[in-house]
Amino acid sequence: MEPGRARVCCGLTVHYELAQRPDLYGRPVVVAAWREHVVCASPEAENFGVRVGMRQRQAQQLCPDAVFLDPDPDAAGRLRELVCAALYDLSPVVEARVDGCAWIDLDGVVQATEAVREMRRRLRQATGAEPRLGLAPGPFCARLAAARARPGRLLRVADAAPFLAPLPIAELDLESWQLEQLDLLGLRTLADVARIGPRQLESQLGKPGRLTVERARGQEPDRLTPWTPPVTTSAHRQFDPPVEEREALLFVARALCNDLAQELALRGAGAKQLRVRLDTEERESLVRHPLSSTAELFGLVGAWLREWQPAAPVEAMRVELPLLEAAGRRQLRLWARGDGSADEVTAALERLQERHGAEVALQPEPALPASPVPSQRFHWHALGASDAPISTRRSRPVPVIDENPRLSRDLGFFPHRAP
Amino acid sequence: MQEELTRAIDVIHLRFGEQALARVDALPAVQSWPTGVEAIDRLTGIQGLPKGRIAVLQGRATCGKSSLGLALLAQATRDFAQAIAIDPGQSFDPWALLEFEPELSALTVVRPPGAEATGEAATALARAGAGFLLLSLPGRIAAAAEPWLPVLAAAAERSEAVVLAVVEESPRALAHASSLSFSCERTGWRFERGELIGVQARVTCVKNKVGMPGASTELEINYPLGAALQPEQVLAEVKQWNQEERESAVV
Repeated sequence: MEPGRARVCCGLTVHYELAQRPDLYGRPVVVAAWREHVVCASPEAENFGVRVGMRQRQAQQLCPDAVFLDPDPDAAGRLRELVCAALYDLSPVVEARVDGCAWIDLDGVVQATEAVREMRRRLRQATGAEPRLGLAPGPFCARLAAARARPGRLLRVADAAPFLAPLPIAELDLESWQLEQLDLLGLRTLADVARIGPRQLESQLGKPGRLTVERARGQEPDRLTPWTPPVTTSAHRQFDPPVEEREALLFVARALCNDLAQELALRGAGAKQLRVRLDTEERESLVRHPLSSTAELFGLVGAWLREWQPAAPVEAMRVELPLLEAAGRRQLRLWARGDGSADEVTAALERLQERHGAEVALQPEPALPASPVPSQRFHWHALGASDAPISTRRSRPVPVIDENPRLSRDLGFFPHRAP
Repeated sequence: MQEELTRAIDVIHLRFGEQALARVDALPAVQSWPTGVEAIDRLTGIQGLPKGRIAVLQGRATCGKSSLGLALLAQATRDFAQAIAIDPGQSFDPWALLEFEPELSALTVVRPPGAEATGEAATALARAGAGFLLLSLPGRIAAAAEPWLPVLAAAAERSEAVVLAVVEESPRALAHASSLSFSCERTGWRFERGELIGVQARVTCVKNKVGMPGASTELEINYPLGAALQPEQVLAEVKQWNQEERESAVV
C-alpha cells in the first residue's frame, strides 16, 4: 500500500435498525425481540450499560426508561441497499453494513473532496442523522477515524500507524476471549500489538492474530466487499375491490412507474426490459436503450394499457424491470443541445416502431445524391435496424439508366450551379 | 380548505407532472432558438423561434414555406442532438435539404400512418425532449389535429421542444394552439438566364404571443440545382447502383 495516501472514506451513522425511527433520536432506544438478545442500542442507552448481545431483560433492568423496539431486519436491509445505491453513484467500490458503517473507495475518483461532501449529504438524507466521517488509507483505520470525528465532520488520517498506536485493543474486532488473552499477554494498546510479530500472535489466536497485527501496524489487510446493484426490480399494487376503469389503472401505472424511475435514478440504472402483469395476463418488451425516467416507462406501459381489453376487473398490477443495466453508457455528442434527452427520444421512436412498424421512423443516408431518379438518391434505414436499407418509394418502377448522356439529359439532370 | 386545495394540487402534480399547474410568477420566461435565418429571427421579436411553443408556417403551394421549413430543419440538425421531421404525407425529400448542409446523423423522419398516429408521434417525441419537430401537415391531417394539439403544446412546453408546423392553411385549432404564426406569400419568381432558380416571398408574422405581431419581411428562396458532380461520375454511380440492385434481386 502506498504510504500516507488516504483513499477510503468511512461514514459512521446510527444502526440501520435505529434509523427506522428517527423521531426517537436523542432518547435511549434498545432494539431487541422479547426475551432475545439486544441487536443494537442507541448511545443514550449504552450510557446506562446496555450492550449489543446482552439479554433483553437485562437491558430492561439496566435502562428501564428505554424505548424497546422489535427488530426489523428486512427494513434495515432495505435501508442498507438504499445507502449502497446512493453511494454507488460516487464510487464503484462501496460497502455498507447495517450497524451504520459505510465505506467508499476514493481510489481513482477525480473529485474526491466533492465525493466526501456528497457522501455526508446522502448519508444524512438516508438516516436522518449527521454522519461522522473518517478518511484513511484503509477501511479499518477509516472506521476508527470516523468514530473519533465530530458529527458532520471529517477526520483525515494520512499515516495510519501513529494514529492507531495509542488506541486500546478494544478497538480491534476480536472476540472477548481473544481480548482477554491479549490483556494477559500485556498487550493493552495497538502499539503493543504492532510491536510483536504476526507469527507470534498467530500462534496464540490463530489466523485472526496475524490480521490483528497487520491492522495494528496500519497495513490494512482488509479489502472492501464491493456492493453490486441488483439487476432486477419491480413495483406492484393490489386492488381491493378490483378495478375495471382504465383511467384508474393508468393512474396507478403512472405512480408505479414514478416509483421505479426514482429507484432507477438512485441506482444510476436503466431498464432494458419491461414487463407488465395484470392478474394472469402479461406483456413484456425489450428496448434497445435503457429506460430510466417516468415518461419513458409510462410511455410504454400507458400505451399497452390503453390498448388492453380487460376480461374481468383487475385485482393486482405489477410492473417489473427484469433486466437492468447502467443508464449512462453513451458518449454524449459534445456541444449538441438536448443530447441529455437523446436516449428518451430514441426510446420514444422505438415505441412508435413497436406500435406502427419499423418503417415509421427512418433515417436517410445519402446514396447517390446527384442521381436524377429520386429513389436512388438516399437509402432509408429504419431506426435501430441493421444496415439493410428500406426502400420506401419502390411503388413506382425505377428506370434503368444507361450511359447515354442524352437520355440522362432528358430525365432532367443538369449539373450543379450555385444560386 | 387550504389543505384540500393543497391535496388537489398534489394529485394534479402526481398525475400530470409538476408543470401541469404552476403559479404565474413561477413560470419561466420564454427562451428562443436562433434559426440562422436573420429575417425570421427579427420577425419573432425574441431573436428566434420560441422554445416549448408551437410555431406555424402557412401559405399556399409554391410560396416557399417548405423550403423555409427545410432551412430551419437543417439548422436544427446542426444545433440539436435530435431533429425530427414528422411527415404523414410521405412527401419529405431529404435531397431538398442537402442544399442547406444538414447534419443528417441527427435527423429522423417519422412517417405515421394517420392523423391520430401523427398526434401520438408528435406528442411522444416532444415529451421525450426532441429538440426540434417539423410537422409537415397535409390538409386532412391538420383538420383532424384538434384532439392532440393541446397535449402536444403541453408536452412541448414541458420539454422546451421547438415545434414548427408547416401547413397550407392553418385550421382554427392549430391557429389557437400556436404561439407564433407566419404567413408566407409568393410575390414573384426568380429567373436567371432564362431558368427558374427560386421564388420571392413575403413572410408576415400574423400571430405572436411572445412579441409584437404584424412585422413582415421579404425573402429570396433559391431552389437546389442538381449536385456538384460531373455527369460522368453520376452515370458511373448510377450504373453501379443498378448493378447492385440487380444482384440483390437475384439473391
